[in-house]
Amino acid sequence: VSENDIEENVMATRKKDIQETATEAAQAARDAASETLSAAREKFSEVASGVEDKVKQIREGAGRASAQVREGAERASTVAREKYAVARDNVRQGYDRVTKDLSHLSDDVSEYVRHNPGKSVAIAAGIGFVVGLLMRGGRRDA
Amino acid sequence: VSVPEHSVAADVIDELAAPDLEWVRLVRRYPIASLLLAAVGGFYLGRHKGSDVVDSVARFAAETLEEGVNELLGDQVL
Repeated sequence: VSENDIEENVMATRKKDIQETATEAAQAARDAASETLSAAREKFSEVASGVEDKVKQIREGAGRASAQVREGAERASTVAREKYAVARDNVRQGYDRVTKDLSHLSDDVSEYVRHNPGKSVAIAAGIGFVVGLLMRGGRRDA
Repeated sequence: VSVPEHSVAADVIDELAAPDLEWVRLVRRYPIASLLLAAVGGFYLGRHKGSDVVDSVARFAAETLEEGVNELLGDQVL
């Protein structure tokens, strides 16, 4: 075996070793890249799922809040309508009562005046006279 | 309604009113308007001639009281 053959064998062996090492390194790099990519995909999927859940929760919360607001507004509207109806009935009853009382009072006064015309006219004139006397404001006749 | 009223006020009004004025019939026909008219008349009288009326009434009351006391106790006590 010549020295050249030995040298060629050594070179071939080294070359083979280098190729194997490079192949292993490349495979390791591919595996690492694949794992990283897979992990990134899983992470992205988790984040996307979480965001989707959050959006769903927010949408449901907004829907519930909207329903509650609508229900509250309807309840307030109903209460306001009832209060308005009660107030309107009270005002109407008060007006009717006052009108009836005034009508009765007018009838009573008219009846008394018809039975006592002189006394009634004298009382009215006397009241007017006193009021006029008091409303002179302290002015004295000369 | 047609029952006649006998009161001092009616007699005074009869004295003051015109003879041909049927004030009782008018008052009975228009009671509220009559009261308002009387009140306005009294108000006008009190506002413009109040002092004269009060003085006259006070003088009349004093003279009437003096006459009554004189008649009761004898001549010229007051």
